[in-house]
Amino acid sequence: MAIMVNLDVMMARRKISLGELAQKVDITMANLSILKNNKARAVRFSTLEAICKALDCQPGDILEFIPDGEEGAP
Amino acid sequence: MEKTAVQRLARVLQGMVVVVFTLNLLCLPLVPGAVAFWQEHESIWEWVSHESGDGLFWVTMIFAGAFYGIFLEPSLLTAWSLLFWICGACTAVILWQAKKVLDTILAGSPFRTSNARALNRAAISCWVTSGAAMVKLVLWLWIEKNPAPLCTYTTLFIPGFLMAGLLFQVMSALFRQAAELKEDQDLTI
Repeated sequence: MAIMVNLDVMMARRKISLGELAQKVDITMANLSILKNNKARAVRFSTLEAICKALDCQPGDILEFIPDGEEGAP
Repeated sequence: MEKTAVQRLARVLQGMVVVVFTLNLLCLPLVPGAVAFWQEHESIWEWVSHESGDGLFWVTMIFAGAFYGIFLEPSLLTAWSLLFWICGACTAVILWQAKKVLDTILAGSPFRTSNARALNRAAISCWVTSGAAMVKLVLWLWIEKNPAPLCTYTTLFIPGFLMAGLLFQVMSALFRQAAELKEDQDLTI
Protein backbone atom coordinates (compact mmCIF):
# COMPACT_ATOMS: atom_id res chain seq x y z
CA MET A 1 0.00 0.00 0.00
CA ALA A 2 1.44 3.44 -0.96
CA ILE A 3 0.00 5.41 1.99
CA MET A 4 1.49 4.29 5.31
CA VAL A 5 -0.12 5.13 8.65
CA ASN A 6 2.48 5.88 11.32
CA LEU A 7 -0.01 6.00 14.17
CA ASP A 8 2.12 3.98 16.58
CA VAL A 9 4.97 6.53 16.32
CA MET A 10 2.70 9.44 17.27
CA MET A 11 0.98 7.35 19.98
CA ALA A 12 4.38 6.60 21.54
CA ARG A 13 5.33 10.30 21.47
CA ARG A 14 2.09 11.32 23.16
CA LYS A 15 2.27 8.31 25.50
CA ILE A 16 -1.27 7.23 24.75
CA SER A 17 -2.46 3.64 24.48
CA LEU A 18 -4.64 2.15 21.73
CA GLY A 19 -7.63 1.86 24.04
CA GLU A 20 -7.37 5.48 25.22
CA LEU A 21 -7.02 6.77 21.67
CA ALA A 22 -9.97 4.65 20.49
CA GLN A 23 -12.10 6.12 23.26
CA LYS A 24 -11.05 9.71 22.46
CA VAL A 25 -11.63 9.25 18.71
CA ASP A 26 -14.87 7.31 19.27
CA ILE A 27 -14.04 4.31 17.11
CA THR A 28 -13.58 0.69 18.15
CA MET A 29 -10.19 -0.71 19.11
CA ALA A 30 -10.56 -3.22 16.28
CA ASN A 31 -10.94 -0.45 13.69
CA LEU A 32 -8.09 1.56 15.19
CA SER A 33 -5.93 -1.55 15.07
CA ILE A 34 -6.83 -2.03 11.39
CA LEU A 35 -5.75 1.55 10.75
CA LYS A 36 -2.53 1.21 12.75
CA ASN A 37 -1.54 -1.98 10.92
CA ASN A 38 -2.07 -0.43 7.49
CA LYS A 39 -4.98 -2.77 6.67
CA ALA A 40 -7.51 0.02 6.12
CA ARG A 41 -8.70 0.78 2.59
CA ALA A 42 -9.81 4.36 3.29
CA VAL A 43 -10.05 6.87 6.11
CA ARG A 44 -12.85 9.36 6.54
CA PHE A 45 -11.86 12.99 7.05
CA SER A 46 -13.95 13.02 10.21
CA THR A 47 -11.86 10.15 11.63
CA LEU A 48 -8.59 11.81 10.58
CA GLU A 49 -9.73 15.08 12.21
CA ALA A 50 -10.59 13.26 15.45
CA ILE A 51 -7.22 11.46 15.51
CA CYS A 52 -5.26 14.67 14.85
CA LYS A 53 -7.25 16.43 17.58
CA ALA A 54 -6.59 13.58 20.06
CA LEU A 55 -2.87 13.38 19.26
CA ASP A 56 -2.40 17.13 18.73
CA CYS A 57 -0.68 16.64 15.38
CA GLN A 58 -1.01 17.25 11.66
CA PRO A 59 -2.24 14.66 9.12
CA GLY A 60 1.25 14.58 7.66
CA ASP A 61 2.59 13.42 11.03
CA ILE A 62 0.61 10.20 10.82
CA LEU A 63 0.27 9.67 7.04
CA GLU A 64 3.23 9.03 4.79
CA PHE A 65 3.35 8.43 1.05
CA ILE A 66 5.79 5.73 -0.09
CA PRO A 67 6.00 5.22 -3.86
CA ASP A 68 5.55 1.61 -5.07
CA GLY A 69 8.80 -0.30 -5.02
CA GLU A 70 10.23 1.63 -2.10
CA GLU A 71 8.05 -0.09 0.55
CA GLY A 72 10.17 -1.54 3.30
CA ALA A 73 13.20 0.61 2.39
CA PRO A 74 14.66 2.57 5.35
CA MET B 1 -32.80 -10.09 16.09
CA GLU B 2 -36.02 -9.63 14.14
CA LYS B 3 -35.79 -10.98 10.62
CA THR B 4 -36.36 -8.65 7.68
CA ALA B 5 -38.98 -9.32 5.00
CA VAL B 6 -36.22 -10.51 2.66
CA GLN B 7 -34.94 -12.96 5.27
CA ARG B 8 -38.47 -14.31 5.84
CA LEU B 9 -38.81 -14.82 2.08
CA ALA B 10 -35.37 -16.44 2.00
CA ARG B 11 -36.49 -18.86 4.74
CA VAL B 12 -39.50 -19.93 2.65
CA LEU B 13 -37.37 -20.26 -0.48
CA GLN B 14 -34.76 -22.27 1.43
CA GLY B 15 -37.44 -24.74 2.49
CA MET B 16 -38.69 -25.09 -1.06
CA VAL B 17 -35.17 -25.52 -2.43
CA VAL B 18 -34.37 -28.25 0.12
CA VAL B 19 -37.57 -30.13 -0.76
CA VAL B 20 -36.91 -29.94 -4.50
CA PHE B 21 -33.24 -30.88 -3.99
CA THR B 22 -34.26 -33.96 -1.97
CA LEU B 23 -36.79 -34.98 -4.63
CA ASN B 24 -34.12 -34.44 -7.28
CA LEU B 25 -31.76 -36.83 -5.50
CA LEU B 26 -34.55 -39.39 -4.97
CA CYS B 27 -35.45 -39.33 -8.66
CA LEU B 28 -31.91 -39.85 -9.93
CA PRO B 29 -31.84 -43.64 -9.30
CA LEU B 30 -35.22 -43.97 -11.06
CA VAL B 31 -33.93 -42.49 -14.35
CA PRO B 32 -32.89 -45.69 -16.17
CA GLY B 33 -36.14 -47.43 -15.26
CA ALA B 34 -38.21 -44.43 -16.29
CA VAL B 35 -36.40 -44.21 -19.64
CA ALA B 36 -36.95 -47.93 -20.31
CA PHE B 37 -40.57 -47.76 -19.19
CA TRP B 38 -41.46 -44.75 -21.31
CA GLN B 39 -39.90 -46.40 -24.29
CA GLU B 40 -42.61 -49.08 -24.00
CA HIS B 41 -45.54 -47.23 -22.45
CA GLU B 42 -46.94 -43.72 -22.98
CA SER B 43 -47.91 -43.11 -19.35
CA ILE B 44 -46.98 -44.83 -16.11
CA TRP B 45 -50.22 -43.87 -14.38
CA GLU B 46 -52.42 -45.20 -17.18
CA TRP B 47 -50.55 -48.48 -17.02
CA VAL B 48 -50.89 -48.62 -13.23
CA SER B 49 -54.62 -47.84 -13.29
CA HIS B 50 -55.41 -50.33 -16.06
CA GLU B 51 -53.27 -53.17 -14.78
CA SER B 52 -53.89 -55.25 -11.68
CA GLY B 53 -53.98 -53.88 -8.13
CA ASP B 54 -50.28 -54.71 -7.78
CA GLY B 55 -49.42 -52.13 -10.44
CA LEU B 56 -47.25 -50.06 -8.18
CA PHE B 57 -45.29 -53.12 -7.07
CA TRP B 58 -44.67 -54.14 -10.69
CA VAL B 59 -43.68 -50.61 -11.65
CA THR B 60 -41.05 -50.71 -8.92
CA MET B 61 -39.80 -54.11 -10.08
CA ILE B 62 -39.63 -52.91 -13.69
CA PHE B 63 -37.69 -49.84 -12.64
CA ALA B 64 -35.20 -51.94 -10.70
CA GLY B 65 -34.89 -54.47 -13.52
CA ALA B 66 -34.49 -51.86 -16.22
CA PHE B 67 -31.78 -50.17 -14.14
CA TYR B 68 -29.53 -53.19 -14.43
CA GLY B 69 -30.71 -54.24 -17.89
CA ILE B 70 -29.78 -50.92 -19.49
CA PHE B 71 -26.22 -51.03 -18.22
CA LEU B 72 -25.62 -54.72 -18.82
CA GLU B 73 -26.53 -54.32 -22.50
CA PRO B 74 -25.51 -50.81 -23.57
CA SER B 75 -27.96 -49.32 -26.03
CA LEU B 76 -29.62 -46.04 -26.89
CA LEU B 77 -31.45 -46.26 -23.54
CA THR B 78 -28.04 -46.18 -21.82
CA ALA B 79 -27.17 -42.95 -23.65
CA TRP B 80 -30.55 -41.40 -22.74
CA SER B 81 -30.11 -42.47 -19.12
CA LEU B 82 -26.62 -41.00 -18.95
CA LEU B 83 -27.79 -37.70 -20.48
CA PHE B 84 -30.72 -37.48 -18.06
CA TRP B 85 -28.37 -38.30 -15.18
CA ILE B 86 -26.04 -35.48 -16.24
CA CYS B 87 -29.00 -33.09 -16.35
CA GLY B 88 -30.27 -34.36 -12.99
CA ALA B 89 -26.84 -33.95 -11.38
CA CYS B 90 -26.54 -30.42 -12.79
CA THR B 91 -29.96 -29.40 -11.44
CA ALA B 92 -28.94 -30.81 -8.04
CA VAL B 93 -25.78 -28.66 -8.17
CA ILE B 94 -27.84 -25.58 -9.12
CA LEU B 95 -30.26 -26.17 -6.24
CA TRP B 96 -27.42 -26.70 -3.76
CA GLN B 97 -25.72 -23.45 -4.83
CA ALA B 98 -29.09 -21.66 -4.45
CA LYS B 99 -29.34 -23.06 -0.91
CA LYS B 100 -25.85 -21.77 -0.08
CA VAL B 101 -26.78 -18.28 -1.29
CA LEU B 102 -30.03 -18.35 0.71
CA ASP B 103 -28.04 -19.43 3.82
CA THR B 104 -25.91 -16.28 3.54
CA ILE B 105 -29.02 -14.13 3.14
CA LEU B 106 -30.44 -15.66 6.32
CA ALA B 107 -27.11 -15.02 8.07
CA GLY B 108 -27.44 -11.34 7.11
CA SER B 109 -24.31 -11.04 4.95
CA PRO B 110 -25.05 -12.03 1.35
CA PHE B 111 -22.37 -9.94 -0.34
CA ARG B 112 -19.50 -12.39 -0.26
CA THR B 113 -17.16 -13.79 -2.88
CA SER B 114 -18.36 -17.29 -1.92
CA ASN B 115 -21.77 -16.37 -3.37
CA ALA B 116 -20.09 -15.19 -6.58
CA ARG B 117 -18.36 -18.58 -6.82
CA ALA B 118 -21.63 -20.42 -6.10
CA LEU B 119 -23.46 -18.55 -8.86
CA ASN B 120 -20.56 -19.22 -11.22
CA ARG B 121 -20.91 -22.96 -10.51
CA ALA B 122 -24.66 -22.71 -11.12
CA ALA B 123 -23.99 -21.00 -14.47
CA ILE B 124 -21.60 -23.76 -15.54
CA SER B 125 -24.17 -26.40 -14.51
CA CYS B 126 -26.81 -24.64 -16.64
CA TRP B 127 -24.49 -24.69 -19.63
CA VAL B 128 -23.67 -28.36 -19.14
CA THR B 129 -27.43 -29.09 -19.04
CA SER B 130 -27.90 -27.11 -22.25
CA GLY B 131 -25.04 -29.04 -23.83
CA ALA B 132 -26.53 -32.38 -22.76
CA ALA B 133 -29.90 -31.37 -24.23
CA MET B 134 -28.16 -30.45 -27.48
CA VAL B 135 -26.38 -33.81 -27.61
CA LYS B 136 -29.71 -35.58 -26.99
CA LEU B 137 -31.40 -33.55 -29.74
CA VAL B 138 -28.65 -34.24 -32.26
CA LEU B 139 -28.72 -37.99 -31.48
CA TRP B 140 -32.48 -38.02 -31.69
CA LEU B 141 -32.49 -36.21 -35.06
CA TRP B 142 -29.89 -38.64 -36.37
CA ILE B 143 -31.95 -41.65 -35.24
CA GLU B 144 -35.36 -40.38 -36.39
CA LYS B 145 -34.01 -38.81 -39.60
CA ASN B 146 -36.83 -36.27 -39.58
CA PRO B 147 -37.32 -32.91 -37.86
CA ALA B 148 -39.95 -34.19 -35.38
CA PRO B 149 -37.58 -34.00 -32.33
CA LEU B 150 -37.26 -30.25 -32.96
CA CYS B 151 -40.84 -29.89 -31.70
CA THR B 152 -40.13 -31.39 -28.27
CA TYR B 153 -39.24 -29.89 -24.90
CA THR B 154 -35.64 -30.94 -25.42
CA THR B 155 -35.30 -28.17 -28.03
CA LEU B 156 -36.58 -25.61 -25.51
CA PHE B 157 -34.08 -26.72 -22.86
CA ILE B 158 -31.13 -25.70 -25.05
CA PRO B 159 -31.75 -21.93 -25.22
CA GLY B 160 -33.56 -21.93 -21.86
CA PHE B 161 -30.62 -23.28 -19.86
CA LEU B 162 -28.15 -21.28 -21.99
CA MET B 163 -29.91 -18.05 -21.00
CA ALA B 164 -30.22 -19.17 -17.38
CA GLY B 165 -26.45 -19.74 -17.35
CA LEU B 166 -25.84 -16.26 -18.72
CA LEU B 167 -28.11 -14.75 -16.06
CA PHE B 168 -26.30 -16.67 -13.32
CA GLN B 169 -22.96 -15.36 -14.66
CA VAL B 170 -24.27 -11.79 -14.59
CA MET B 171 -25.42 -12.30 -10.99
CA SER B 172 -22.04 -13.81 -10.13
CA ALA B 173 -20.26 -10.70 -11.45
CA LEU B 174 -22.73 -8.54 -9.52
CA PHE B 175 -22.06 -10.39 -6.25
CA ARG B 176 -18.30 -10.24 -6.84
CA GLN B 177 -18.48 -6.46 -7.28
CA ALA B 178 -20.78 -6.12 -4.27
CA ALA B 179 -18.34 -8.15 -2.13
CA GLU B 180 -15.46 -5.88 -3.17
CA LEU B 181 -17.47 -2.74 -2.41
CA LYS B 182 -18.51 -4.17 0.97
CA GLU B 183 -14.89 -4.97 1.81
CA ASP B 184 -13.90 -1.41 0.88
CA GLN B 185 -16.73 -0.09 3.03
CA ASP B 186 -15.86 -2.38 5.96
CA LEU B 187 -12.21 -1.31 5.82
CA THR B 188 -13.08 2.38 5.65
CA ILE B 189 -12.31 3.73 9.14
